[in-house]
Parts: sequence; structure tokens; C-alpha cells
Amino acid sequence: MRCEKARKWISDGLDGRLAGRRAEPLERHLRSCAACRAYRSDVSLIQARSHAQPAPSLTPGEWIRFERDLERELGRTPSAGRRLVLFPGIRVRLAWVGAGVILAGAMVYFLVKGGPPQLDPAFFSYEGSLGQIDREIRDNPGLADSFNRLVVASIGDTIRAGQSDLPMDLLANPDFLEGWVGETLEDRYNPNGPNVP
Amino acid sequence: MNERMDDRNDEPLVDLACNGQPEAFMELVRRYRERIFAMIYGMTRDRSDAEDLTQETFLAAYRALPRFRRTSSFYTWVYRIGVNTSLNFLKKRGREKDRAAFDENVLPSDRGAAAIPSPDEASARGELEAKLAEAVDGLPPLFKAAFVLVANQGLSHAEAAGILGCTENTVSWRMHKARKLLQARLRPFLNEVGHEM
Amino acid sequence: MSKYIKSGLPIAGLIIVLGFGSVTAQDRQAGALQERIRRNIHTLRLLQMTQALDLSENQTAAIFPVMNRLEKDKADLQRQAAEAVRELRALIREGKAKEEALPAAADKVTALRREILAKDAELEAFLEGQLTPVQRAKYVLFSIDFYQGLGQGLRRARGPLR
Repeated sequence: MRCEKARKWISDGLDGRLAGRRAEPLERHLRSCAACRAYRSDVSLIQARSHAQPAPSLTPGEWIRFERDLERELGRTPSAGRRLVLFPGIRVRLAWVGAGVILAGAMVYFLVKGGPPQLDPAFFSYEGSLGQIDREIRDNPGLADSFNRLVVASIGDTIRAGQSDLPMDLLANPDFLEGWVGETLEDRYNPNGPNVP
Repeated sequence: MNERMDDRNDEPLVDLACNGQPEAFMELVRRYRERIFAMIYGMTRDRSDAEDLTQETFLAAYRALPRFRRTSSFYTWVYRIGVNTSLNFLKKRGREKDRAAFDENVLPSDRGAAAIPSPDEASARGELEAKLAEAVDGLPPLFKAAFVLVANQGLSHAEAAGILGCTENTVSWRMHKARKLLQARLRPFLNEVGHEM
Repeated sequence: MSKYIKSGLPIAGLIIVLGFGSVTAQDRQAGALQERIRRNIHTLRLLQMTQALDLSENQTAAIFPVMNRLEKDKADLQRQAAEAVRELRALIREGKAKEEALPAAADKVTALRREILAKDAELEAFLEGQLTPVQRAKYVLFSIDFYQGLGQGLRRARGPLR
């Protein structure tokens, strides 16, 4: 088991999400990997200290002031009362009926008309998309280089954004990276790293 | 631990607030202000900001009451507004401040003025929790949100996913990334403190 | 033959060989860059697809190896197709002399194009079995947006001259 995967499972375990069938392989890995044992120890401590951190509260006087300020703001805000709606459930039902009528009308229209034309599968295929790019960069090394840099930058942005939910242990698998053995995807696309393609 | 998020005892008060009675809304505020404040403080690490954002949250909730569809409890709904308010605040603050990238490979001593003090200074100050708070504050907003909700506030991945509007798997990955970053940043201090659990 | 011409011959030969070699090397370099670009585009596509479709860990474990294999197959077919197109162009240039070879050469290009399309269809069919209905719908939009994004990237790479 790769350490990156083990550490993900350690994290899941701390949140009570380590299913039984994953626990044993993880323990097996930990028995032989001192680095991951140390990692588990560290994040467990962080977890414990996070739970132990009490949030400060406002004093009673501060809460009174808070309420007074909020009430003043509420007074400026138009009433939150709902618009009076008769039989509110009917609006939803009417909306569904309307949608059904439109859908039925569309079906009749297309049945009569013969349906929309089939999308040419080439629209989404290599021929229609990458093929054009391929043809253009083939004869223009300068353009190819610039374009490659843009693609690499996009990959770096996607990884570094920190908001991507990337299965890093899979992407770090050398079989996936076709011979980029020993490198993770983050290493490869870090502009400060050694191997920007 | 935490009260269940899905508490429907608020229905009568919500009805009254929706029908234009701000006193009913203020009663709901009193019920949940501490918990909302605690969560927002966990995100912002600033008492004054947390107070302002708590106020902003309840004000936004009051204005949005006519659109509250009651698919969740009132508390969950306001909690979600609070998380979004905090995230928007953090993103705005992140754009305004010249914040160094949170790089797990950069040791604290490499970071200059914004650096966490060295272990020697930390041992003088003595508190791992303070370092942890700073480190959590330095997380990218979405990782921080997941970490605060799950590790600080004790929400399950499912509850956090509902609040953040993403999948459980996404929350799981963000927790893993957050822990990795925190462990890398706090490594020197974890060794100093040792692992009393 | 004068001794100067005789001694010059190996040098001339060397220059010709080196010149040809450098042209070939340039071709190889260009080919390598194209290959690298394809792989980078494929990597970017996988990363952004994971995000756009919110793929689960199990889904990525199932989908990525298949997409990698199909991508390699398509790259192979594309190389063969490019070679076949070059041959076809050469035959057209040679005109009547090679006219009887034209249908076979054209058929070869067409067959390779159909195989590339078939790989796309194979991927679509595979994904149908792996994705939820919502993810399938998102995949359709993602494909359009991704390739449009590449087109925009190419325009940016061209710069302000075009």
C-alpha cells in the first residue's frame, strides 16, 4: 500500500469512516512503515487538540449589545412575512402540470417533425476537437511550445487550487503516469520543481 | 457533543417569524447565536470579525426567511448561511491580503514575517493550540471550512457535506488534505510537545 | 577523379548524413512535443473531469485505466492516420503515375478515421455503465466545455498576431 493512500485512510479513520475491510490492510502497512506511524500519531494529536479548543463566547453584556444592534437592523429590514399565498401546494402542482404540457407538446412536435437530427459523433470525438489542434501545432513548433505551456499551467492550477478533489494516490501511481516513476503529479506540474514537461 | 442539527422544535417560532414577528426571530437568534458564533470564530479566528459575521448571518437569514423551504431544520439552514458568509469573508480577505501560498514543503522558518515562530520561541510561549489555531487559519478556505466543521464542531462528513453543498467524498478528501498540510506545518511543534493523548 | 574531389566526398557524405539526421531529429523532436502535448491534454482532461463530474474514488479507479488505454490506442491510430495521410498526399502529387494506388490509400485513411471514432464510441459506452444519469449529463457538457477551452487556449497561444 502506498503511503499516500495509507494517510488518506488514516484521515478517514479519525472521522470514523474506515470500514472494517480497510482497517486490516492499513494496520499491516503501519506495522512496517515508521513514517506513517509517526504521521498517524501527529494527526491524532492534532485531532485531539482541535476538539479540545473551546471557542470563546461574548460576555452577557456583549450579547445584549449584539441583540440591540440586530434588532435595529431588523427594524430597517422590511418584514420577513411571507406573501399570502392561497393554497400554496397548488402552485407546485400547477408548475408540474405546466411542465408536463410543455413536454407533451415537445414530444408531439418532434414525432411529427421527425426528431432532431443526430449529432455527428465526430462533434465530440478526436477528429472534431483534438484533431484540429493536432493539425495546427504539427507545423508550428513555436505555437506547440506555447500551447503546451498553457496546458501545463492549467494542470498546475487545477492541482494547486486546493479545491480539487483529486484522487492523488491514483494519479501518483506510476502506471497511470506512464513511466513518470517516483514522481507525483504535484512534483511534475510544480513550476518550481525539476521536471516541467 | 453536539446537539443534533436536525432539530424541528423551532417550527412554531419560524412560522411566527415568517408572518412578520421579529420577536419570534430574535428568540431563534438567542437559541443559536453561541453555536453560530463558535463556528464562525473557528473559521475566522478573530472575535470581532466573528461577531460581525454572526450578525450578518442572522440578518441574511431574516431577509431570506420567505424563501426558507424547510427541507432542513432552521438551525441547519442558518448554519449553512453562516458557513457561506464566513467563506465569502475569507475569500475576500485572502484576495486583499498578500497571503503566501500554503506550501507543505516550506518549513515555517522559510516564510519571513508571517512565519510561525521557531520551536524555541514556541516552547517559550508553550501552547500547541495557539500554533494549531494559526495553522488552521492559514488553510485554504474550503479545506479550513471542512476542517472546522468536522474536527472543531464535530459534524459528520454527511452533515458537513450538506452544509458545504458538496459530496461526502469531497469532504473526506478535503479533511485529508487539511490534515496533511497541518501536519507538515506543525511537525516541529508536535515533536516538541510530544504525544500525550 | 581528382584527389580533392575524392577527399571531399566523405566530408560531403558526412554533411549530407548530418543534415538529413538533423532534419529527422527535428521531426522526431516535433513528434515528441506533440506526444507530450497529447498526454498533458489527457491528464488535464482527467483532472477536470474528476472535478466536474464529482467522481468518487471507486469511479476514478475504474474509469482512469480504461481512459488511459483508449487514449494510447487513439494516439497510435492517430500516428498511423497521419502517416497514411502523408502517403496519400504523396500519391496525389505523383499524379497519374500512381493512380491505381489511390483507392487503397484513401481506404486506409478512412478505415483509420473510423477506428478512431470507434474508440470514442467505446469510451462513451463504457462511461454509460460507470456514471450516474446526472454525471452522464454533466459529462456531455464537460466535453463541450473542455474542448472549447482548448480552442481558447490555442487562440491565446497564437497571440495577438492572429
